[in-house]
Amino acid sequence: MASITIRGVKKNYAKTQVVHGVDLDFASGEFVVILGPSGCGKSTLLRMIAGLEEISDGTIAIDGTVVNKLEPRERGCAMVFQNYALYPHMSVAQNIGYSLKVAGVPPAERAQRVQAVARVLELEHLLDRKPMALSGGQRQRVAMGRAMIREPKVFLFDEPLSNLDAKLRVQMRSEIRKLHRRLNATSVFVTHDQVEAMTLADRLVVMNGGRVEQVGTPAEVYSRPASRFVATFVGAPAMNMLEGTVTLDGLSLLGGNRKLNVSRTGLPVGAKVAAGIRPEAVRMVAPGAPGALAATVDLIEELGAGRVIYVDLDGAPFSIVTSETVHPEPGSTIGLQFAETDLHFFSSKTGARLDVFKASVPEPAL
Amino acid sequence: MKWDVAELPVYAGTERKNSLVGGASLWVLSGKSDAEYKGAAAFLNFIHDPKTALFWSTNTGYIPVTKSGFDFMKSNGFYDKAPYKGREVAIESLTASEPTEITRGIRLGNFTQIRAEFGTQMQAIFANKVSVQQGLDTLVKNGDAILERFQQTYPGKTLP
Amino acid sequence: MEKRVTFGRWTIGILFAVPQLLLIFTFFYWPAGQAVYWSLTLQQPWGGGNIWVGLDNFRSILANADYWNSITASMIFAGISTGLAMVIALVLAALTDRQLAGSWLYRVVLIWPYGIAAPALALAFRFILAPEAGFMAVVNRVWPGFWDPGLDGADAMASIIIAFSWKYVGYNFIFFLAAFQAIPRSLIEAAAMDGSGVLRRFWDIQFPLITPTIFFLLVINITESFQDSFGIVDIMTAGGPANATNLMVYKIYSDGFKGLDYSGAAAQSIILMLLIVALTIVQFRFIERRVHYR
Repeated sequence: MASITIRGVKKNYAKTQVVHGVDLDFASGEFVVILGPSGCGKSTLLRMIAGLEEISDGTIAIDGTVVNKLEPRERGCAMVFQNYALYPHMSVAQNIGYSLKVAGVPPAERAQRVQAVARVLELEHLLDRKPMALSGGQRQRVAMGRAMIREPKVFLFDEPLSNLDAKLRVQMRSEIRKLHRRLNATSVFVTHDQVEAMTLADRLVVMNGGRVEQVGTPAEVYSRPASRFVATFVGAPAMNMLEGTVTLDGLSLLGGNRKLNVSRTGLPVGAKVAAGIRPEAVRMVAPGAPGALAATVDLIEELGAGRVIYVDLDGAPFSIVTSETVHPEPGSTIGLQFAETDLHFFSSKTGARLDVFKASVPEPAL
Repeated sequence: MKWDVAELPVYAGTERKNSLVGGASLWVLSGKSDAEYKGAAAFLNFIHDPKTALFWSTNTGYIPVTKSGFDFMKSNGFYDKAPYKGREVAIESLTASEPTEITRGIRLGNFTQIRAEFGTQMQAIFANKVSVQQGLDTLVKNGDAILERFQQTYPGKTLP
Repeated sequence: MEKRVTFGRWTIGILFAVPQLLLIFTFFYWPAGQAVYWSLTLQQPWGGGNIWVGLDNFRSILANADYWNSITASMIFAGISTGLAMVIALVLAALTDRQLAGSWLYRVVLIWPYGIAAPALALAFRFILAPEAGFMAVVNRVWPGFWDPGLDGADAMASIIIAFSWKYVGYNFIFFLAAFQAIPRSLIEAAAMDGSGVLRRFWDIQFPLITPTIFFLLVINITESFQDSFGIVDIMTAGGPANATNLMVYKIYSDGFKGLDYSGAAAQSIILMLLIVALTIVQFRFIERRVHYR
């Protein structure tokens, strides 16, 4: 159990800066997921917490102690690696017990603690096997066991599920969640998979290009994305973006085909603005229905419980998620309707969320 | 420091003996045609000619093979100046006495092996690994074994 | 139905194999067969006949103290030079693997010694280790008589061991470095997270994982120390002083080609071959068991 405080942390490799000053606070016992595309610096940040990378600038403190100069072993963190990083020449029991062996724990106690961890992870019958003889899911559990046995203050996960198949991933996800509830250790989990991120996180940190874009609960990040990047990165299919221009009487979208009557406090006429709408907030109606936008159907993806309809809206790609059992023919015209209160606005220039239209958008129901 | 060339010293009260000749040898084998022997004779005549000796020694550093050659070179002043000055000591050493029973040169079966053995035992003696007597005893024993092996290789033959 | 390209007649296959078979026969089986035949006969130095003596050559060699001295010298040479070449290379590779800048340079520079012909490098070391000039002369000035490979057998043995090890350090280094770099970095990091320090990680993780390479190099180094030592011995010590560095392979040469005792040399080379085969079998039988193949 430990809090983590990150202040102004930067990372440079030679002349390239990959993390540009990050400030974060993780509370004790919290499960934090750092989400971002590959190359966004999320793994580097995690490895700096672990002590596997030098911190170029700024400080990282665990439980109030600055750990910048401490060796990994002195930080009280345990890490689960993406490729599991099991010692191939050691048995499962030796893998799990290695940290205890290094710490000089007597063999009897070691065996007992390995047994205990193996019981929790249902690995008891595999203790004598080598990693080579294990399935992906089993290896994953051994890697977890190796981290657990040290009873660390902080758990670090570096995309641990990305090598598993879809079914195992879902299963391991819930196991990790259950383990966290049981151990209640501060956990930092890095992933590029937003479903993983949404389902696991107490709090979500979205990173892009070496910077933190947004910190918040999964619901907050989903319903009030702080930037255009977060809006399009979180949620599948991605949020639709309509480019628009501020006019005297509101906002002109779709080349003037659609006008929104919104307050434009603080924005000069002519400013470029993007209006986003989640595919699941759009309804499909008959073409020509009052207030409906006409669109041409491109493609339909059947999801079983629902379907994603990709359409062409005045030349812009647009998608809708619907649970209605309608199957419009590709090439046919359909009508689209959405509530203006479901719109999110972002500056086209900076990508930042614009709360000048706040009046139209209610606070998210949490 | 003054450097010069001299014969190896001998113990006081001992008589200096000629040193052994060594190195490459020329042989004329039996069982060849008369014409070949004529050619061989002409070649040997050429080789022991004093003028040839002078040319040969000047260019190769080898000693002259005949006394007449040595005398010719000496009278020509070959040994008077550098870089050939002092080389006459080698001739003095080789002709220090009439060849005796043990200094008239060696003809042995497996000679090179025996010579190598001689070198090895000398090294052992100089390195103080064995006493002089032990080294010589070993040399005799090993030399005999090499000779015996030579005898086995040519069974029933006596060499001319 | 399985489709396969086959030769209509077996003779075509044989024809394709003939050039290779001919090479192997000409340059391996035939000379090896000759060596076996010569070792069972007494060959006259300049030809002209031989007599069958059965195993007499082997008996006389094995009864010869000089030959046993040669075997002992070879064993000492093989043991120390292999150990030295491997340990130094292992340490260098382990250090290089720890992300030293310019490690590619080490790689290039360290493979060079292996490319130098043994006689050439022996000549270089003969000058470097000469007692009368250079570095060892300075040492000798401080401790008179400390270094004298011309008279002291141990010094001479040390000289050829240094020269041979120098050549193989580079070779071993390349293999060790490749082996270290083949270990996923995350394993080392995982061990670091598990609380293991640099040395502990080396012994617990890296060392076990490079055992296949260690084993391979052990076999190669020992075999080569029996064979590739010839040029070094010939130039540096010629087997001396007093047979102190008369390794088996050098004794074969000096007895056979200098002493013209072809039969004895043939018998010695058969024994050397059997020894190397036996050593290799021992290594595979007993040492390989401790190797972790991944």
